[in-house]
Amino acid sequence: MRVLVVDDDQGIRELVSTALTEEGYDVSGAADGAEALDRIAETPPDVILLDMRMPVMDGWEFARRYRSQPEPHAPIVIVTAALDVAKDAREIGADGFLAKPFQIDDLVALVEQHAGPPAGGDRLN
Amino acid sequence: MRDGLLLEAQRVERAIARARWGAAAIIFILGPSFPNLSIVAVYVLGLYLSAYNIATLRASGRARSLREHDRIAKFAFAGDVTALSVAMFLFSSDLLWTTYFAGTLIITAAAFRFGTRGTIAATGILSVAYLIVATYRLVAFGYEFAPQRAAFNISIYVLTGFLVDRILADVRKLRVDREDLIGRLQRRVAEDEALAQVTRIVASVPAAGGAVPAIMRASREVVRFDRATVFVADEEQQEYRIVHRLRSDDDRSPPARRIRFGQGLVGAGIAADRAILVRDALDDPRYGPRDRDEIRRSIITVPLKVGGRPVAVFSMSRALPDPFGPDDLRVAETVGSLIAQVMENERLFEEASEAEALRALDRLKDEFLAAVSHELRTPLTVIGGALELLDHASADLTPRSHRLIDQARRNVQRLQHDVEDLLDLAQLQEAKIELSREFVPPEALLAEVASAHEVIATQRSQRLVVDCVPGMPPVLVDRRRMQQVLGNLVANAVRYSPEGGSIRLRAERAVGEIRFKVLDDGPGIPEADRERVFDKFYRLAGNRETASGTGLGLAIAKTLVELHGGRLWVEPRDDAQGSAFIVAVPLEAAPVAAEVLS
Repeated sequence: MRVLVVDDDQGIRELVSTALTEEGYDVSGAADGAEALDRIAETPPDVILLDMRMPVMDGWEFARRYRSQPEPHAPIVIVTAALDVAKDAREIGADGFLAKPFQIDDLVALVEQHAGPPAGGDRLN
Repeated sequence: MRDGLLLEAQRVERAIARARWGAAAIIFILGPSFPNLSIVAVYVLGLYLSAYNIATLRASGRARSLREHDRIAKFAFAGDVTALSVAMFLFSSDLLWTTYFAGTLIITAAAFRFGTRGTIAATGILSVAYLIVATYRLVAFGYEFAPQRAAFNISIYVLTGFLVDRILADVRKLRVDREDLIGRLQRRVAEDEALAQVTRIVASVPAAGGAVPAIMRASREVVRFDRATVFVADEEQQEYRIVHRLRSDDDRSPPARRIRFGQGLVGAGIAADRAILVRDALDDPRYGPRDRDEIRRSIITVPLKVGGRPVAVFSMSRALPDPFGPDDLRVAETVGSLIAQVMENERLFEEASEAEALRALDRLKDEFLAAVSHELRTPLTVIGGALELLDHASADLTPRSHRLIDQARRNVQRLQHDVEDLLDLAQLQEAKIELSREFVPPEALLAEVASAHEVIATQRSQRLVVDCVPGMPPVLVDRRRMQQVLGNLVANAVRYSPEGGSIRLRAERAVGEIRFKVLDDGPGIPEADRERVFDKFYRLAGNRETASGTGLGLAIAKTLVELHGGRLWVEPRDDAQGSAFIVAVPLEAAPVAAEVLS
């Protein structure tokens, strides 16, 4: 299962990548919406973890462009530090949301819910 | 102007004097050739005429005032009437008796010089003189006294007097009208010029506050006043406050008294829809209490509408005897409306800049909040997540490393909590938080809160005891926010209770509400501090060292409870030592489904 992390903060990309790789996911990162669209063109992900406030192309613009591409679309989960994350999620019609700061366990659970268990089963168990 | 009139009168007098010289010459030269009673008397009459003519000329030349000159002219005129009457008598033996024709000349002169009264006097005296002389002619010389002839001659006098007087009255009236018109026009032009100047001054005053005094100073060009004042109604102090005042340099009157709300001419002036003119303030019942030595003054008040309401008065006053007139009233109204406009502009300007400042502050706050939420939350997430991952890899770690990781994680959580507190409070203050309410059974709420705080209580060897009868009606609350409220209270209780103590969570039903209680066995809170513990950043004395957190927990809890329409307070426990924090949430009618569920 492939996860795409779109966040301008390198620390978040590394943390999510570390946590989900340990769980057995295949994780790639993008620093903004434009870069994310490039990554998706190379290898379509199974779930997209999306920050909203980013330079170059923000989450709203990314969601609009991604949705305008032909099907299939991977579910989008918003991971952001807004005052009202649910509102952001409603605005772009996201499939799920997670407010920063989050617990690793919550992140893993949310990814599993939208992308299914990692390929080849859970390595740690 | 006055001197001009005097000179004019003297010029007229000199012209008449020349006419008298002519009359005297006729008397001296032609007089003896007409039949007369006495040749000596004729010469005496000529001398008399010459004598008072010289006297009149000299007196007229010396006259210092128009009034004095008027008296002299009247004496001279009496001399003229007398001279003519005597002449009529002296020449009464003349068959044709022509002297009476001169009467019309005298009457005409009287009309020109002394108006209606002079005309009537001259006509009357000469008519009587005519009748007397006619009678004398009948008695002395046997001339026929024909009543119709006498009536005709007197009618000529009366008609002359009447016609000339009427014509002159019309001329005078026309002249007065024209002068009045010219005066009014001149005044109007001067007013317009002055008002234009006032407007220019207003436009050129750079500081907003200086415009009204500038208008008041400039309006002196248009209307004379001793004192001009702008009063503003101060509803809080219940009196009228002087905001602008301009006095003449010689105004020695004492400073203005305080004028109570709704009283005095100022009160009447504000209440009135239009400007009020008071000729003598001391005679006006509306005028407030007066000083013993107060000067009689005439006052104009103009109501000023600021913010759509008449809340101010522009007043002008002037010492008697010289009351204001309708012209002054009109100017005062114009000046008043200018002042009102300026004050309204100042008010709008102030309001706008205040609102602008508030908006800017608001924007700054929003930006700050967004920055805090982003800049702090993101690195905290990374640190917390990394520590969590590190902790999971337990096999590689020594017990010491575990302890250190644990310590770091606790402090990251604390920092996260503090950031959330700050954000919550900021949002609560802006009323930005919206509650999403649902019906929640009280015991469920307490159980959730207790389990969430089990860990921190255990760390201090404390017990959390939930004490709740099942089957209580559900409360309509924002589940997450109410957990936050009770959580803050429990965290507070854990902080202030001794190690090994116990914390009780209770829910009780009261009239129309459910009361959640968090009971600790700490030292208790002195009565004086019981209100203040809910203040932001407040800490109980002596606990500054031990207590952690931002000191915002209780303030946030109270605001959230009030957002629910409930109350939060603290009282001493009645069953043991310690404090009871009580959250009262009003009971709403629960839907049937919720009743069944509970």
